[in-house]
Amino acid sequence: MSELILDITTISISYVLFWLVIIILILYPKLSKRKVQRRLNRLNQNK
Amino acid sequence: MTFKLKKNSYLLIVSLLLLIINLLLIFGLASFERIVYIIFFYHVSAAWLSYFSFGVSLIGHLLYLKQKKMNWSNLGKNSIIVGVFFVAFTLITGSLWFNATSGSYNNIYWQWSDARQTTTLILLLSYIAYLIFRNFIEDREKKAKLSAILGIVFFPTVPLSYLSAIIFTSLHPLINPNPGEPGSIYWDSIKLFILLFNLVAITILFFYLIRELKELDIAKQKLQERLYTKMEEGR
Repeated sequence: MSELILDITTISISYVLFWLVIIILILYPKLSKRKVQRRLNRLNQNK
Repeated sequence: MTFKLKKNSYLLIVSLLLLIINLLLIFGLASFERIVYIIFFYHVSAAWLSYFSFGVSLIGHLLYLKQKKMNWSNLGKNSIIVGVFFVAFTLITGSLWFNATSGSYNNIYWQWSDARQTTTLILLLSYIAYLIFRNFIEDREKKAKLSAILGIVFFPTVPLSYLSAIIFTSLHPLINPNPGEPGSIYWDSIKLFILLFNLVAITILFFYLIRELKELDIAKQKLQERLYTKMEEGR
């Protein structure tokens, strides 16, 4: 494979990884908070 | 229908917008001999953010030991969560970059003799150990106290990782103004401006993430209190 194609592959993997890290870090607190909130609501309903 | 954004969401929108503008700047303004050198902007930004996060965690842990306020302990932990992700990204992109440049695509991703790579791996493993350790302790006060001590003990791995390329043998290039020397291709006002732009964008993202993680801690605390009162009622 030519160096250019390998370079493009490397930079694409890095760029996708960069956004993957950002997306995981954005979604983790949001989804966890929703889960906690659901548990809290269930607890309050079973009062 | 009205759509109201949370105060914190503005930080996210601004940082994502800046990151997209940054991508346009990279392709529009920065010129490199090889396209793979674009990794530089992401690798350095992620490294900066991870060092910054661990620095904030150190402050959080020190303040916890001084004031015994749980908020500081949570700040320390949350900064480490963000830092761990970005330092892992830094290591991966560093290895890919190494294979592309020094390794000339001969599948050489790692060299244990390279001080920067090895010390950064030690840094990553130390903070992963911190998160695992913190998760194992049940008692809140004990958890905060012991993890604050551990966070402070592990912090020297951060300056060690940074200085390793300067004081030990490393193939890691440093931004250098002397033409012809490794790292001199990044000594360019446009490239440094784009890098700074990326650093600002990613630092704004850090503050957004910390605020979100703080809200998660508050929600978890509420749940724990609710569970505790329910248990008391059941007795």
